[in-house]
Amino acid sequence: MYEGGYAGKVLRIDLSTLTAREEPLSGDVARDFIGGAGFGIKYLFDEVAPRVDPLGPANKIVFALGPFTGTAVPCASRMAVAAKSPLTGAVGLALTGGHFPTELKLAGFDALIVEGRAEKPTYVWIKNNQVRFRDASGLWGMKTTDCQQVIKDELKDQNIRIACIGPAGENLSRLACIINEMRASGRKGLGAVMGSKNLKAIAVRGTGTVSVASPGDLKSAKGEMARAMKESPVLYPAFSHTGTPSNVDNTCALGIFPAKNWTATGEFSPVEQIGVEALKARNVGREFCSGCPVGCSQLNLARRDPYSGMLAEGPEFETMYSFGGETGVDNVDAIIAADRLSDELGLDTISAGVAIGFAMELYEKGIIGLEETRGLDLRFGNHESLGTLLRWMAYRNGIGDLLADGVRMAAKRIGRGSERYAMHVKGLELPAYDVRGAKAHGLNYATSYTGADHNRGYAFQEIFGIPIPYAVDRFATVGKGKLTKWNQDVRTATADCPTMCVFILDMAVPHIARENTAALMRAVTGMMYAAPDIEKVGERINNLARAFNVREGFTRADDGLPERLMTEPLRHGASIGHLISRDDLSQMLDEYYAARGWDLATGVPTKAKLEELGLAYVTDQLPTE
Amino acid sequence: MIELPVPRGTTVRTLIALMVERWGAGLSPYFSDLDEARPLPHVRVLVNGQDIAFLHGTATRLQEGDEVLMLPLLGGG
Repeated sequence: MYEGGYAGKVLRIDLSTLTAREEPLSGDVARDFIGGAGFGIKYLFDEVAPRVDPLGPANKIVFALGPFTGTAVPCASRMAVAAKSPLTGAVGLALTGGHFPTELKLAGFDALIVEGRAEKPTYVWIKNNQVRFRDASGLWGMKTTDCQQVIKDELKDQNIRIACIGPAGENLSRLACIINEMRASGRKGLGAVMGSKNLKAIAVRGTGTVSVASPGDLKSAKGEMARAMKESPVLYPAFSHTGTPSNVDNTCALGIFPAKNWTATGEFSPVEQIGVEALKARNVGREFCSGCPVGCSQLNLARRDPYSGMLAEGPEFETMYSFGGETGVDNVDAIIAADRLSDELGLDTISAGVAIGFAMELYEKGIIGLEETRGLDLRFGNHESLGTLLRWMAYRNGIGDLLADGVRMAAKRIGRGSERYAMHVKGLELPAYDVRGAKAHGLNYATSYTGADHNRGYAFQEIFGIPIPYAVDRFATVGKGKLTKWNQDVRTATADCPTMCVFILDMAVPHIARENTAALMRAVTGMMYAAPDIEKVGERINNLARAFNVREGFTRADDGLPERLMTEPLRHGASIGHLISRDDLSQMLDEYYAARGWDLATGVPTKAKLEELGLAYVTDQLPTE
Repeated sequence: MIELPVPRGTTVRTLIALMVERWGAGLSPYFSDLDEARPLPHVRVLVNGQDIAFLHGTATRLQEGDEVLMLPLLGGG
């Protein structure tokens, strides 16, 4: 049983009856799943039956913190949000940072589980152990910054933290996100799940504290972590002052910055226009998540008309790709403005940008025309189309109504051969990094339990050349199955579950990630973990998430990549000539399934593997071997 | 991008030494341990897109027209 770190309570909120009740956090669940993504996936598997409509009242949303959130452990103000995704039909998981996670933990909860559906727009107000349901009719339609401010004014407390949806979530766009401050639980349509429940916002004020099992051991463990952070050649000052956009320069140099719906990677490499130096001229400050000394979130102010005056916390690298590379736009002010607009409307910048790039390619190929676009010129590079399309997607106007549900559904509805231009896996639009030049990263896109998701098993060995656990040839295919399992399990266990920032894993402690997490867990919770136990937790969660998807009907056939990546080699840049052929993917999948202990033909976790991980109860619910 | 003529058969190690000689001591902290075959701690070096760790390390010999990328260690995103 835990002795610290956890609040010890889960708050279950029923929007159908507008009631809430507390339940204790099980010691077994804490030990086996740690927190964050672990709790989210555990509750989803146990409580969301197969074939549930993701936009129906039987879906649930779990907001889960980790045992370090709210303690003196740095970089732990993170929260996992989990639901069945309306975009993919698979596990939907996203993580956010900022201040909301810490506030919720200090209010006294390890997780919220939101169930049912309110009859009318509602927001939940949690002040320590008091829970109220308030009318959100006046907030419905509001953009996210305004919504947060109005709630603070209404409740007469400017220290309240709020997670809310914008018009995109209200209109059930499957690309809708949840925004807290200016951070996002960005992907998989979680904002639409909130919208389907008539839940506009969750407002929290927490004034409690979180105890730890051994303050002395924590001081020692923190010291080790701080030393690693200080010794990182990347974290300070570079990353803390440039943030993630430095990756534009990196990926352009490597020839893996995807461009123009993945047709011009290595050819369209606008480093001068939208790389680090271009953003430096727009930088007006940094934001720090609660308890983080790094402060990597950059505040950027657009300088040129018609975008001047638009301020964004960002854009992050993925957004530089989605509104820049993917659309062929090289106007950095337009990208800043699109980033801010997406946050206000509550749209996932990655999926929205890829949807726009998809529409642009269809337009350029004549598959759609001016009639469908209502006169909007959708050639690649037209930055003036971004704002219009984002609004159309959030409000379901014109072609925006098609794009609002993602490229897979849009392609199905458009037909005319458009499917081959839809860049997604399992319905989730591809993130940045052209994986034809980074093949383990590609295997991760194919196999992540949420769809094409860079954050579930990031191959930093290939993208940054970090030789942990060993140096990796980004063009090779052999060995990528085992590496992908390691990347997914270690990332899950050391970032997604304890809810710690992944940038610390990537840039400060990749060589001691499991040991660092184990030491912190012992000190904070009093539960005895060694490094292999931590990795086992990651493996357990990846298997349980896989089991959820298998139960929904996913098979090996869904672990694929877009046709383009398997048939069209890169034609320009430092990764020229490379692709991931069908044979390459098949071989990597075989190796991955073998490493995972899954059936090679179906990709289903075997009974033996599930029993090894303490998930024997899951086996009855899966197809027999 | 910088074009730098070097003698035929120059190794990556020699190229780095030439760069330090030409562009000053500010570069040298990033290129310590030149005699070792292990990856440089602060810089990622690729020749024609391939990491030198998978060629011959800093002993990799350059051919005419080769493109050498030197990237600072980065992270994030």
